[in-house]
Amino acid sequence: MSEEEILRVEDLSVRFPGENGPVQAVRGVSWGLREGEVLGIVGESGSGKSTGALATIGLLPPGAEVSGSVRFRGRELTGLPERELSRVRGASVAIVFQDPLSSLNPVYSVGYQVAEAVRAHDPEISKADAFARAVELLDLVGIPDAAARAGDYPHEFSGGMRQRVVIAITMANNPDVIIADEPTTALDVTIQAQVLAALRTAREKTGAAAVLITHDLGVVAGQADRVMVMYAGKVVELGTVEDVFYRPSMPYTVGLLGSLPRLDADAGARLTPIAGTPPALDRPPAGCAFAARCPLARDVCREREPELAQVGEEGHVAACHFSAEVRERSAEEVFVPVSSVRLAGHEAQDVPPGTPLVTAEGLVKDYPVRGGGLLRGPVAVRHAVAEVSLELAAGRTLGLVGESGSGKSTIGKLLMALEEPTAGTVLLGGAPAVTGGRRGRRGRARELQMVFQDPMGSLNPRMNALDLIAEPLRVNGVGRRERRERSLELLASVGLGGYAGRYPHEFSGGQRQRIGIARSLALRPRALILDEPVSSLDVSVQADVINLLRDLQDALGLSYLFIAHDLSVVRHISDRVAVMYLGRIVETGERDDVFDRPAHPYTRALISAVPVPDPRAERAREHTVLRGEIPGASGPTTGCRFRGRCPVFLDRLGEAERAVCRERVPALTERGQGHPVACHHPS
Amino acid sequence: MDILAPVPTGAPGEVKQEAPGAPYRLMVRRFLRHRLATVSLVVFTCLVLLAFVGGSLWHYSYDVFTPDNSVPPSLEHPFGTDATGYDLFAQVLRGTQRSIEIALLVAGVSGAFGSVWGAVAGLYGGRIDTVMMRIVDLVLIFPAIAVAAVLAGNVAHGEQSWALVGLVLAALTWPYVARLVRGLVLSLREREYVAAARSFGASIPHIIFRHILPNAMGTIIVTVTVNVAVAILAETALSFIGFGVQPPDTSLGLLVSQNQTAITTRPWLFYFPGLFIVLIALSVNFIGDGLRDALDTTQSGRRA
Repeated sequence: MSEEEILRVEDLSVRFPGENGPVQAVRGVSWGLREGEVLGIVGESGSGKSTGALATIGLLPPGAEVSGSVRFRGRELTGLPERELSRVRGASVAIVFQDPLSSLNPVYSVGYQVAEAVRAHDPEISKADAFARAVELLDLVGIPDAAARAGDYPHEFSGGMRQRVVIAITMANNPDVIIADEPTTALDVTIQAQVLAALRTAREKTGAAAVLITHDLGVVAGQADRVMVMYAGKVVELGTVEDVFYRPSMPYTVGLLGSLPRLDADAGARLTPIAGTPPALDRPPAGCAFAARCPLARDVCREREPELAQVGEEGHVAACHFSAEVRERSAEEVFVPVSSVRLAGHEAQDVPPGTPLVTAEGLVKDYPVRGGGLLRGPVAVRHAVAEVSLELAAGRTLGLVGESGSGKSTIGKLLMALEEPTAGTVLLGGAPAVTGGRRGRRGRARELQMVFQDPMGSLNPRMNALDLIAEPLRVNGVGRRERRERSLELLASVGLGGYAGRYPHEFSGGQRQRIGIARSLALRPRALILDEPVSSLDVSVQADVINLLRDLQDALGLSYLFIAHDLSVVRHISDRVAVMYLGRIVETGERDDVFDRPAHPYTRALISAVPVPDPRAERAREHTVLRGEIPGASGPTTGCRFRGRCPVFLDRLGEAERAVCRERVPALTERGQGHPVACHHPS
Repeated sequence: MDILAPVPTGAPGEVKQEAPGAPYRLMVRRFLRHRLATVSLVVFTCLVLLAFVGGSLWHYSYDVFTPDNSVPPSLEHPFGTDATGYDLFAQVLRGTQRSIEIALLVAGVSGAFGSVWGAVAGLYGGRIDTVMMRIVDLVLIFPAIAVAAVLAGNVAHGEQSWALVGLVLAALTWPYVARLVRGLVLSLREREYVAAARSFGASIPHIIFRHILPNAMGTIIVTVTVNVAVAILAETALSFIGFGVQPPDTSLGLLVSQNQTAITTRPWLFYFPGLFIVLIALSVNFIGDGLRDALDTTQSGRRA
């Protein structure tokens, strides 16, 4: 990496017209990108991280006003006519967006599109040679069987594969700068690892510098050389990854790092959420934008905006009046973690912790796969859930993890009787639950409730907070007076007392999820099913909701089924963990047993793919990049369902041992203390 | 249980700088921001007042001859008169009244019937859905104007002919509403808040009246508004070809038709009714646009 700057941004501002006057999405940021380096840009949603980066190369929606200066290799880009700009972009800058479909043309095969990029860069090359080069590039980014698949069209690829096709096109363009805007956000960790590996290959082959925009601090820790933290349209801290992660000097950075549950850390520690929400950018505050949420804020912070100033090491700058003070404190000392639960008039469970409350035995859920044809008869069966047994105990949390498509959400629906199981039984407090239709759901509603993933989607936008929380009571025939009292009490207990008349759109994401949680508690259930309850929230808010859930559990003795794809969160909150793959539980056990001594190859791969927000640890870890993706209905129907992706099966087993995997479905068998694994060759 | 220490969960005032209160206030503000829609609402209200109240105040009636034949617009006859001596201003007011009545009848009947049809099909799904939607397809493939002409031309006579024209047009336009509402219900019933309600054990009527309808209402209102404009044009077309409103009653389409031969010699006879048709259709369309923007809950309004 040289010190030469390829891209220099000075005092860049972006304004959009908004409902209440102009929104200042980016407010005077300055930064540079050096030759060959990776600059990570992190921040919560709405911090201006994408807008700021895309503005440098003139990629903004119409209506945006840009001011300031952007120099690319010394050439001023702002003010250039669109035609000139697009020439610069075409020749030197490649962009990888979050949604790869937006950058691929659906009517051409992927091979053709990569070849086009090759030919655009090198007009001399023949069509056949360009296509051969395209296949080579597709192979480089890890498209299996690239020669055969080059003729396929974008819709025939999965999200992760499409993203890799985009990266192949990026390589063909041989850019000087790659801008990756949340390239792995909607992807599973295993697929994220594949895409990040492809991106790394692309950078190494082209020698390009890269801007990596993400909200995932773990990804930044593993991939970036320097990191820039943005808040409310400003750069608040910028430095090498090690400086920023180990010596954060701005309270917001400290808070972001402290609010993150970690896969490799002591799970008992309490997270430190950052209270409040970012300021609205149509009227930015006069002083430091973070002052309203900062526990260290003093008068000067509210009056005068801090400038970026060097703190400690060369090149490490932070915008805080008290950065010296911040450097000496840990996250717990800055953001003193406090409980947010106020429970008056709630009573704890009448059963001792550990008592089984909900038991599922041999749950099976098959979906028919329908054919085309006139009659659309079932042509096959997809096993969404196969022989799953689990137990939810009072005061305990069972974490259920797996990639999307593993069937974990279906289990939640089966337990809630939102779906009918094909086979198997659910026991509530030892007695079989009524199955079937609305009666079944009513019976369960008082024992078992659900908190949904998307707090906006699960709250009816036409109802206010009070009516939302009262709805389960109303449905179950509770009188008006009692309904009102109980809902107000619940609202207060999740820290939202006084906002009963507000509608969902007037709350922030975290507050909405608090309403969802309060609603789920209305019928005083013994157990909650939490289906990805924090995955749509920003990290600082996520920590707040996790803390709330823990407090509620401690106070009420609730049992949780915590369904999530984020292993760090699951490790933080669970007592026991179950890992699912294609409808089956492949490993289960006490949390630390599973995370520290994973026995199933899938669990091991999953854990190794999770990026840790600690640069040294992350770079030292051994990563198993799992091949392929979770197969759909076309997956293997006999034997072990994981074998097509299993590193052990593919790389280490002899023919005789493989035959066992092909023929026999591995059963969950006990290995040691309460840690059963479904694998013929566990480690 | 002890009361644990409170935590600041963020000043909710910061969450959103929109006016606090029910979502409808936000909608009113959004509608008023759509300038064309606001102007159109004023124009349309004036037209309605003029047509329904102005007609009886004006000193000529639409069906009484005046002593003046074929005079151009003047103070006495603001829109002039035709060859037989009818005062065109009185006739245009009457025509506007009829056209608006027909349009509202069409929009109301087709909106209500189509919504119920679509909602039932969407919610029940399966075979009921298939049969109901095939019926919709069947009605949709009728060539609307031809069918309306035959039906209205054969049955519509006398005083109430306008109502029959309206009902025939409604019978031909409800499938558009039904299709739209069905699609909407199909997506609404998959929402997580419906799943949440089901998980509390909510009944189907509860889900329809508390969740589906309140959230579908916006789109239904917009569609019905747009249908008003469509119906006005359809009525005009029918009357123009002689199968709509029958004389001595009159409508805007009929006026244009009766006076089409005068376009070179007495152009006012043609242009004034035409102007009113354009005004009504445009203003209703813009009101529809404004409503669409105002009711679109997908716009958070904060992110540009």
